[in-house]
Amino acid sequence: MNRYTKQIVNGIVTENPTFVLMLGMCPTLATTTSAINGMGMGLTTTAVLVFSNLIISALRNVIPDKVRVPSYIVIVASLVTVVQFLLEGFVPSLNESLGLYIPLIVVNCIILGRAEAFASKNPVLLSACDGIGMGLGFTVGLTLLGAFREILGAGQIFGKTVTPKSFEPATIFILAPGAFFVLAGLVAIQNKVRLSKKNKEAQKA
Amino acid sequence: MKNSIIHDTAILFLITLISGLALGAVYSVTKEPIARQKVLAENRAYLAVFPEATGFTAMDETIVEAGNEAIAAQGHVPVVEAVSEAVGGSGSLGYVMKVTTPEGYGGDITISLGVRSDGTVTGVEMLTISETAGLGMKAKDGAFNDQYDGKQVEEFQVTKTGEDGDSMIDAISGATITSRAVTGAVNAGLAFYRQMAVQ
Repeated sequence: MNRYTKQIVNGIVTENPTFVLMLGMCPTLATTTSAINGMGMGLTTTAVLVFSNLIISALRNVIPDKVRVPSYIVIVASLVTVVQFLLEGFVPSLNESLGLYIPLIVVNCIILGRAEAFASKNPVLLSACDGIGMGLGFTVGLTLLGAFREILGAGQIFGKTVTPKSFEPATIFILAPGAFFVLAGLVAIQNKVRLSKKNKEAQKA
Repeated sequence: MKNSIIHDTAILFLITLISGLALGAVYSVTKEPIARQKVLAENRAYLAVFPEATGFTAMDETIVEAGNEAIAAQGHVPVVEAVSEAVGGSGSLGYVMKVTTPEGYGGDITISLGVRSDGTVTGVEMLTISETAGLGMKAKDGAFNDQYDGKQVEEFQVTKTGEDGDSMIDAISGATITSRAVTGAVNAGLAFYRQMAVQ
């Protein structure tokens, strides 16, 4: 595995922003009322993340240390606005479903976090890969969360009813508290898997 | 280190300036497509509530203002934001309007409403709504908002007990406030329509 693919895998699995880094919790909890919403938010974030990592990494030797945070914010906010203009003007159907979340991306701490922790210290291509990995990791996290909440709360997945009629959906899973329940459950499961893997490795050694 | 402050300021200034210019450039390129999309979206929303129409002509703002004053005097809280005449093969078919009510559970609800010339409701759709997911959001479903279609009444009423009658609208269970807000907006639109018809 070369370091580029490694960086992508790192974002999706090892340092998954939703389940491991616990970054960007606000949009995570707010937008995952259904699988498709989670996926939309994830993919939009990915697009912005890749470009912001690219630009910030390219400018990493130009941006002075003391004013780096305001510089990052200006760059990210401009990018988000550009994406919003483009979607609004040319892909109205996508804008209709994602428009609501786009402004949220400006204040998404994943983007600022990756700019600070990764893009400002690494070369351009590697930073772009980090953006792809982190973005996809975020997308996977949000889609999973949304899928569970949609099944439990509405008996549907991607808008199609999947549960039998006898299943009475518990609306609370679509409401805000449900986001916490499902997130807690998913994090618990992935911690369990991770730990048992570690134990096995320890036993082998 | 006076120079470093000047240096930092200059670079931040440059970044901001370039970002601003880039934004301006993108804005001027996308301005027209965005405006076009807005008109298209509005027409689609109008067509959804008035399928028979082939075109829509926006009415003058002074008419809208006068109508709003009249319905406010009758005690209607919702406000009509825009009215268009629905035009078909045989001339004017009726009106479509955009009504906003502040009485939603999660803030303002904006609906589009079509009224035929004889006062029959042709359709109701939600334009902006931010009610509780799974409860009030059901107002967007046909099961609720199709209840208004094809009815010719003075005023709709919300019922929680499933009473029969043309003017009765079954409330969404668990979302009576939303049901009342939407019905209030429809009623305000109907009052507005009657006001216009009188003039």
